[in-house]
Amino acid sequence: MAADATVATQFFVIQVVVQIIVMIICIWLSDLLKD
Amino acid sequence: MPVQVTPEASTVMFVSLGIYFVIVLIIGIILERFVKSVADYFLGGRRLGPYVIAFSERASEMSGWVGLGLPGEGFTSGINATWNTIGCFMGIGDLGVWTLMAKRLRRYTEVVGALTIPSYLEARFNDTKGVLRFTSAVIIILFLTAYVGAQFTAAAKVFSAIAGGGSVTTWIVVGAIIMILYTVLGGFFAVCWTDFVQGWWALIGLLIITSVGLAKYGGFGGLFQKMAETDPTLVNLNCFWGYEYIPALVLVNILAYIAIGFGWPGNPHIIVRFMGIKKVKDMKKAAVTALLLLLVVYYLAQSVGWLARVEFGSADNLVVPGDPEYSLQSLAISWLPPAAAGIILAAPLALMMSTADSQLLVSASAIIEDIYHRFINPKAEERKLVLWSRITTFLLGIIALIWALFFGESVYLFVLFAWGGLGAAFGSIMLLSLRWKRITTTGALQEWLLVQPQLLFGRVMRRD
Repeated sequence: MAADATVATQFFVIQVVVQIIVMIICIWLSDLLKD
Repeated sequence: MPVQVTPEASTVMFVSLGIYFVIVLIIGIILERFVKSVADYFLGGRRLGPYVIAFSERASEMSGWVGLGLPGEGFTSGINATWNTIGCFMGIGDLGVWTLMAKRLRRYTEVVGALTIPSYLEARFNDTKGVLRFTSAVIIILFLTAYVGAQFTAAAKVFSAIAGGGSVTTWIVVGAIIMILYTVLGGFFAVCWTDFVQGWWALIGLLIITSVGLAKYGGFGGLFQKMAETDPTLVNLNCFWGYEYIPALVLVNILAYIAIGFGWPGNPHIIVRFMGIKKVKDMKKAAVTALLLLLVVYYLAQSVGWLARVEFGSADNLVVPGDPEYSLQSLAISWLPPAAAGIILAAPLALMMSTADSQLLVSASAIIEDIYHRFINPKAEERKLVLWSRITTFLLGIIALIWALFFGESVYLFVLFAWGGLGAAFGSIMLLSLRWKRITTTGALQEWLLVQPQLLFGRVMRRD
C-alpha cells in the first residue's frame, strides 16, 4: 500500500516533468520561433 | 453524513456569485462600443494580445467538463485520471494545435480574409460553389448548439447544489440569460476579455481549494499516502474506476484517455482563437502561456477530486449524494466560509460560461458569415451584418436553452457526442489542410460522408 503510494507520487512527478520537456522540444522544433 | 447547506450560507454564496456575474456583465457592456464591423464581432478585429488569446483559448475549451468532470474522474479513478491530462496535452491535443496549426491558420486566414473556419476551408480548397463552406457551417451549428445547452445544464447543477438541491429548471434559465446577454452585447472582443477574467478566476479558485487541501494532508506525498489508506485502487497504476485490469486492458484504457485529445484540431470554438491574435510573432508567448495553464488547471482539477475522496471517503457523503462531480462544491462548502465558497464556486461556472459564449459566437458566425453573407445577401452592409449577428446569437442561445430545458440531464451526453463529432468532422481536414498540399475538396467531402453517418448511427444505437 505504502509502496503503491510512492510509485504513484513518482509517476505524478515524472509525467509533469516529461510533459514540460516535450512542450519545450515541440515549440523549439515548430515554426512558432521562426519569424 | 452528506455535506449540508444552511439557508444563510446559501444566501451568502449566491451574493458572492451575483457579484461575479455583475463584473462579467459590466465587461461585456463596456466592450460593446468597440464593435463596429462583423470582423470586430467575430474576431475582435484581430487586435488581441498574446495573453488574452492564450487565456481565451484555454477558457473556451475548459468547460464544465474540467470544472466538474475532472474532479469526478480524480475522485473515482485516482492517480490514473492523470492519463486524461496527458492525452489532452500531448495526444495531438493542445500541444499539437499550437505547434502545428496556430501560426499557419492565423496567417492564411488574414491573407484570404476568412473570419470563420468554413470560410477558411472554402478559400483553402478553392471551392467556388461553396459546398464545403455550407456543409461545414451546418455541422458546426448542429453540434455546437447541443454543446451550449449542456453548459447551461451543468451551470444549473452548481446553482442547485448551492441552493441545497431542488429543481434545476429555473437555474438553467438564469445561467442562460446571463451568458446570452453578454455574448450578444460584446461579441468576440468581450468574450475574449471575459474569458481572460474567467480563466484567472478558475485558476485562482482551484488553486485556493487545492492549497487548503494539500496543506491539510501534507502535500502530494501525504495525499497519495491517504488515498492508499482510503482505497488502495486509487494509487494502483493497474486500476481504473475502482477495478483492477490485466495489462492489455490497462493499455486500452490509457489509449482511450489519450484519444480524447484527438478532438482538439476539429473544435472550431478553440482553434478560431488563433485567428484573433494581433501579431503573429506573439504566437509563441500565447502558446507557452496556454499550455502551462492547461497543465496547471487540469492537475488542480484532478487534485480536487483526490482531496474530496480522502476527505469524504465515499460519494454518498457529498453535497448531492452519489455523484462524484460534486467534489469541488462539497469541499468549498465544508472547508471555507460561505462568502469564500461562493467565490470559489464561480470558478467552475466561469469555465462553463466561457465555453458556452465562445460556442454561441462560432455558431452565429456559421449562420451569418457562412450562410447569409455568402449565399443569401453577399452585398449586406456591415452595420446590418453586426445587427443580424447579435440577433442570431440571441436566437441560437434560445435554441440551446430549449435543448437544456427539454433534454435536461441527457444533454450532458451530447458533450461527448459534440466533441467527437466536431473532432471527426474537422480534425484531420484542418490539420492536413495546413500541413499537406495534396489534400483535395473531394477528400474532405469523402471524410464527412464516411464519418458523420457513423457518428449519428452510433448515437442512435447508443440511445436504443
